[in-house]
Amino acid sequence: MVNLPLQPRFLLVCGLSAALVSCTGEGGGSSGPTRFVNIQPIQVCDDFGLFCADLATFEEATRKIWAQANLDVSFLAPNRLNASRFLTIDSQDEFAELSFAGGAGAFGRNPLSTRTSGPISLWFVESIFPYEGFDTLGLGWIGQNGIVIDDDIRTFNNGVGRLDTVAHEIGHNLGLTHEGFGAGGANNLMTDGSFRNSPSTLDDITPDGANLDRLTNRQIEVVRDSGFTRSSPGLAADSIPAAVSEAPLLADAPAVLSPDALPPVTHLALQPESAFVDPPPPRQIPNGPAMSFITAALLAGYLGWQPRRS
Amino acid sequence: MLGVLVGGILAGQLAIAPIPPDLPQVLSLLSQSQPMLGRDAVPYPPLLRHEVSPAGTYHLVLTLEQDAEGNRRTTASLFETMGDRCQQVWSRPLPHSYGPRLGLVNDRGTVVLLDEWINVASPYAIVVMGPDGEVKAQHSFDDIVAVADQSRAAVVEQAAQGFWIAGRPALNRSGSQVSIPTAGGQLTLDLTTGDLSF
Repeated sequence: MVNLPLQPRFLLVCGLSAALVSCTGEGGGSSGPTRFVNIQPIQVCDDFGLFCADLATFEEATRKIWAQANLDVSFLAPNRLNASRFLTIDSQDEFAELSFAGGAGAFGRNPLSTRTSGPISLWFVESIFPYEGFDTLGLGWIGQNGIVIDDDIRTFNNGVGRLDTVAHEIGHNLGLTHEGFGAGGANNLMTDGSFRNSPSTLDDITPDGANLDRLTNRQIEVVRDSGFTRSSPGLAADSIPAAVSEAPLLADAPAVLSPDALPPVTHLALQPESAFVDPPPPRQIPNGPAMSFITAALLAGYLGWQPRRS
Repeated sequence: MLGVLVGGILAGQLAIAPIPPDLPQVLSLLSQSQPMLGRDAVPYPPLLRHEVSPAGTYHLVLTLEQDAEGNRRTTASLFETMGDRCQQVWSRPLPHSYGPRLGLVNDRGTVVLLDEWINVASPYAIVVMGPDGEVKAQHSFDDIVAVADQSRAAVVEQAAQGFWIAGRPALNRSGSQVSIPTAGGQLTLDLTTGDLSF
């Protein structure tokens, strides 16, 4: 019959099929137009800048892993943070200080970075949470800005390296967890490090070889909706982060910051930490009394009742 | 009268208008509570693992250690039962990163080490060591894929523990072969020759 495709049962089956396809399974690699995310690597060194953690971005592997979500990951020129105490991250509070304390650009962060937008801050340190019975190779806030990587990922697996730790932590910043949105299988990028199969070469990263570090369709949807991803390349964000205008970054910085007008981030990294201390908060001005309609009418009547001066 | 009324209204509003000076700071602290943290961590293998041959003739002991660079390494030691005591036959550090996932020993003192602890396509997927501690045979993950005649993805997809093992490995009755479930079938390792078949 000509009308067959329009029968309710047929439409119902089609709808259910579409819903099932969209809710399950691994990502197919086509997820709409390309989205972009910038990463700001920060190399942590001792106070004198003589001894530094290794920069182990595994850029090629990271880009290949996120290509399945049609997400273009760009690594900016690295900054350097000379602060011996951050060479070892001993506690979550220390990582929080690195991630959120100070003003824009503090601790080597990109001036455009905020807690929920802008380039993702990626610190490389000597060790994370030592003496806990396991090797912590990376930490990342879930849904907020900040990643710290143990540079041992470079020598992991007899020098082969842990290719997917950086991509895994980027996933956390983009809102993914170890169990949510279909994670948990040994070949999923976001599965806990105890169980996840890790690639030794680019050739084993999905869609090639052993097909490792896959993402589910739901995971892809979540990361593409993250505030860290943008519809255009470059540093110009879809919406300029509010934090940019909060504090001057340098004495000679322009009053209105545009991405192109920003000084090179490598110069910012050489500023002492004190240069990035938050300015004193503006003095709170209490709100004046709100004037309701009745108040206004009474006030108008009172003023109108006043006798005129002769 | 009207002035008093208006003044009272305004005074009342003014009385509730001022914001306590410390309130914004409290709100600021609350709004800046730390978000959830995700981590990529690899647990260490057990400090000590102990396997006994079927008749109790040999004991394989795997101990976790730390090398000069701080990397975790496993040392394998073979002990032979001699009456009421055990005599060490050999002991040597293993090439695996962290260590093997599984170890077996038969009653001839042949040791079999399977897969790596860290879930990777390992060059040490299967290592056979003779009674003297020398490596008699070594097979990589690529060798297993070739013998199974399946794709790398298919072998990994069917694994239940580690990178490629799908079940519990078992020595045969004579102790001359090990059967290892993988890729939907049984991988057979001949302990005499070190050859693989599927």
